[in-house]
Amino acid sequence: MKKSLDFEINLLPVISLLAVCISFLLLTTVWIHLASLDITQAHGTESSSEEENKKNLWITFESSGQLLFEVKDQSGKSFFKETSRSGQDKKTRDQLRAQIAKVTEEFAQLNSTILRPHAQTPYENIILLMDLARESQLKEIGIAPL
Amino acid sequence: MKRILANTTMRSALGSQSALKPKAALGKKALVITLILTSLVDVFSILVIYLLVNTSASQEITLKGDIELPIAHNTSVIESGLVLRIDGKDLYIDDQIVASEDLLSKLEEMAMQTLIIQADRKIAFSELSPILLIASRTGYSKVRFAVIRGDGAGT
Repeated sequence: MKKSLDFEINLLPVISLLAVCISFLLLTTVWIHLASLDITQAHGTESSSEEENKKNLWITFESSGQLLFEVKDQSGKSFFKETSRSGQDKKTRDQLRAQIAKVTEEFAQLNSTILRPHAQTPYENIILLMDLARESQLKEIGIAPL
Repeated sequence: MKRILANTTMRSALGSQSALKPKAALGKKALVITLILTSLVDVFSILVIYLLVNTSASQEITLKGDIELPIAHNTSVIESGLVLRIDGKDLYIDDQIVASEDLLSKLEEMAMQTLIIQADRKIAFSELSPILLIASRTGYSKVRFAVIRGDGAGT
């Protein structure tokens, strides 16, 4: 008599195990991921850079809601000046992205980006500008306190 | 035929779970339901792998209060540091309420390198500015703003 060569795997324990794993992971998984945006703050006895020809991008939040983009060196000489609208809608974001890209294209060796918010500037607008600056590879971002 | 059915059903684990009864009365039609479990196991495996990959090993920072964090796309992984939460008019350091006049001494006492600020996206910069000034005065060289990571690659 020939011996049967059939081999059957009992899948029920496997399914039970997977169902328990899925239930546990669904209960413990974090769905909202927190991340951070870093700024560089000067503190204590740090002095300004000795290289006065280093250019910085200054983004000023005006009380009217406009944004002033300015490229200045350490001596205060201005090389670029343009205003743009501020906001959270997609069209404004794209305009701001294009504006920052224009600045980084024209001034490839920008030292740092400094944001100068107004007292009533919403926090999310500051975060938006920081996000767009990082997208354009501007690493050193600082915020000027009031 | 009956002997073959009887033999195979008694030896097979899968066969014993089917509704086929080899000793059913002659002439009666037996209802056979066979579940194909392979696809179910595939789905479960993919779900488990996805959930395992989604679990991050970064620092657990919990969101408390009614704070709605801003959303950003080009973010960094949140690292360890002192968490300062601005909830309305109150300040919390590691979930303990701190008075505004005690903030300077409290930050000096903690003496950490990194400050992580959690604040609602609608607050005005005038509420944030004093904290940045105090942070720079007390030697916090790294200040991080906690945000919710939006779609897109983080750095």
